[in-house]
Amino acid sequence: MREKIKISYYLVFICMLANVACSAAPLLEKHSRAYVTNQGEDTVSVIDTEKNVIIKTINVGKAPVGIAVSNKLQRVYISNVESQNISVIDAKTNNVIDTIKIKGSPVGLALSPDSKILYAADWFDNRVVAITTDANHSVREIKVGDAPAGLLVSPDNKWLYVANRDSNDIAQIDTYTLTIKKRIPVGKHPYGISLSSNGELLISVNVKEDSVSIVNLKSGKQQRIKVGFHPYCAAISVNGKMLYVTNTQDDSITVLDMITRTIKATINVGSTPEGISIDESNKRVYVANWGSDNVSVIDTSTNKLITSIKTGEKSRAFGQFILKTVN
Amino acid sequence: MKKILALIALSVVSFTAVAHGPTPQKVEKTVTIKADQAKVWALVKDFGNMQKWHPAIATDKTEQKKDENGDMATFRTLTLKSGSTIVEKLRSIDDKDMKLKYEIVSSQLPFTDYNSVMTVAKGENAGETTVTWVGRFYRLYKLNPPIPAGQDDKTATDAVTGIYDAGLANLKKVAESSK
Repeated sequence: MREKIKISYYLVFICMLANVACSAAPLLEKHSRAYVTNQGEDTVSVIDTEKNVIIKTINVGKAPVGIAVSNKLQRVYISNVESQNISVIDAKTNNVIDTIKIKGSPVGLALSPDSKILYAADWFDNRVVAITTDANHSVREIKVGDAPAGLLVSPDNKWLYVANRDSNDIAQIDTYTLTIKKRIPVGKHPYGISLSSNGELLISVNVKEDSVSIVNLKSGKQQRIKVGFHPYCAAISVNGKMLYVTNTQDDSITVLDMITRTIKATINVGSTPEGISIDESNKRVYVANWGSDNVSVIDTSTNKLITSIKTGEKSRAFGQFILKTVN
Repeated sequence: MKKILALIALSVVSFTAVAHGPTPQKVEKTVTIKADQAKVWALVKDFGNMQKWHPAIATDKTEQKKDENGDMATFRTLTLKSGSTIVEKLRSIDDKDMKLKYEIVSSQLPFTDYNSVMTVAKGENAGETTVTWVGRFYRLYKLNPPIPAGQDDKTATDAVTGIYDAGLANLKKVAESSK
């Protein structure tokens, strides 16, 4: 890695000597990073998604699972479930700059669109904590359904959605009053959730029913579609056309056409795929494989596996884990 | 062997909570057997005859019934030499890739939410076959810490390791001795 940095400095130097416009070349790169939690070794792998290489491995708290990224703050939040805290990573240096103590065992994480509030679901007590991302880290608490897992905030910042695994519903919570507006019944054991970029379609992944529920939040209409065995997480494309679902016990990804609501492809990936995120700028899907300790990279234009990247032990990456870097 | 029986005999607190822990555990073990691949696969895939190769098991009885989603499935009840029982559900038998997938429905073992894959593959040298047994499971304790002794990750992992080590060693013995 160090060698590569040296080489790139060297290239910049050459460019300067040659006095040509190639110094602008790095700006043409699509700068995104994938942050992958490795629960079995207490680290986070940082992947340069343009080159598909690991650029750093960061030590965090005990048993990291959940993740939330802030493009605005250039920060990454990691839930360490067994040390009951959250590691805050500065995306510019990829160093841990803060650790926030949490009452309870945090797993699911989500940020408000303005990055002012971080939400964390307690795996055991039926509550979600809302923490300010400023230096005060002031905390509010919301009682939710049984066993909260996946979290998401609507693009207009009005609603927090919480997947309640054991009450088989999604709680829609008013972010201002922190009260439950309604509970939307979905399939059995919802774990991961995804939301279309216009905030209209909510998807829950129903682990014990091998299905996804697609909820139209405007009309209230709902459709349930079978996917692979024991699915965990899903990611919807920014144009709302495709949904990618990890099937943990089939070692595959289901690609669902959201317009026709039919299965377009099933792609074999690593063992026990869990967390999934889309890098829109590079047209790739990243999948964290718990069983094979790696990340599978899929080309969204061909739905083919491009490469696998070795990460750390028991990769999970629960949450949206692709960060757009500003520099 | 004694260690497994002791572990299996452990009386364990039962939980009413449905959810499992937040940190899945993994045990992966491989054994190399000097026997034909098809012969080893025949032993592994025989869901109703695990007592033929696992030394902790006295009897194995299968039955067809509806699972929690109302679909027909194959279940087996393993009665251990210690007297306790394990109920397991067959997930799939894949003859092409020689993979058996199953999960534990109920047991008195010190772990929970267990699912497993056994894979039979060609070994490195001629006449050799490898069997890989992988399990994913959770500790028993399903509340915020402190975690009581005997319900933690290590207890769970040690128990599965014991079952796999004893099972694979004897599978090797059985496969290599029988003609």
